[in-house]
Amino acid sequence: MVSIQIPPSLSCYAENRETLELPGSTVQDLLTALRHRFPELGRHLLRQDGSLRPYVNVFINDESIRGLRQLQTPVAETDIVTVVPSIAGG
Amino acid sequence: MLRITKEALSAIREHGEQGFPEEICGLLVGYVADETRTAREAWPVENAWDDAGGDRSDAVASFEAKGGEVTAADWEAEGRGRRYQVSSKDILGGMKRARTAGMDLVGVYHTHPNHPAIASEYDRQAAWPEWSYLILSVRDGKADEVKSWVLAQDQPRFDEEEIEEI
Repeated sequence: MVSIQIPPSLSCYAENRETLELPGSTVQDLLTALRHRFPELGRHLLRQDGSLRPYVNVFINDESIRGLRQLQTPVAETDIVTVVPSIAGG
Repeated sequence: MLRITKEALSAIREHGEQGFPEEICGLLVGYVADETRTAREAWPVENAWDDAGGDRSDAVASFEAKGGEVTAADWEAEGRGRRYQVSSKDILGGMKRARTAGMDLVGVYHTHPNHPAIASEYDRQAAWPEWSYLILSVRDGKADEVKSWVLAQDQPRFDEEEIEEI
């Protein structure tokens, strides 16, 4: 199981939990498990085809997966995976 | 409803005046209870909006896809005087720092230089649920009105929320 932290503002879609323990060996595995378990949370983070919404970023420890192997980036049980929302406006 | 400490609000006003005429931004940090967000502290972050472009084209296209009146091209039509962005690294750093301090990110603040503190369509399209979006109007370099906005439940609409200074 791998720990994945979600923004507190979205914890209401995950039984008020900010840290989820999910199975998987890649980021894609984790997000698939997340969507299966918490469909509404998954809707906020993923497109229908399972790809990550562009205004959502995922970090493994301190590294963005955009600079790694994207959704195919491997994860280990010692990693901390964090979902980070975009912030912008005008 | 947003409860915010006098110290945090004062820091936001000072930050807004110092950053004028550009938009400034920061994180509201505290806790949530019974649908009331309490911002104990305001943490300034860099306005990462790069007038020359940058790593945001997919994000603004996605904001457009969320629905609304403004397009990705509209987003790019203005510079830091009318746009702000917080880098992912600053957001991640803020989330970690808040957790370490036993708090959470409860919202975001930014300024509207020489414009009212009314949330724009850009603000709404990029907003996340359950966060407070505090806007400070700065007129000719002086902090003026402040308002806070929150996404309506399951509606594509920003509602003004009450601000209580504590």
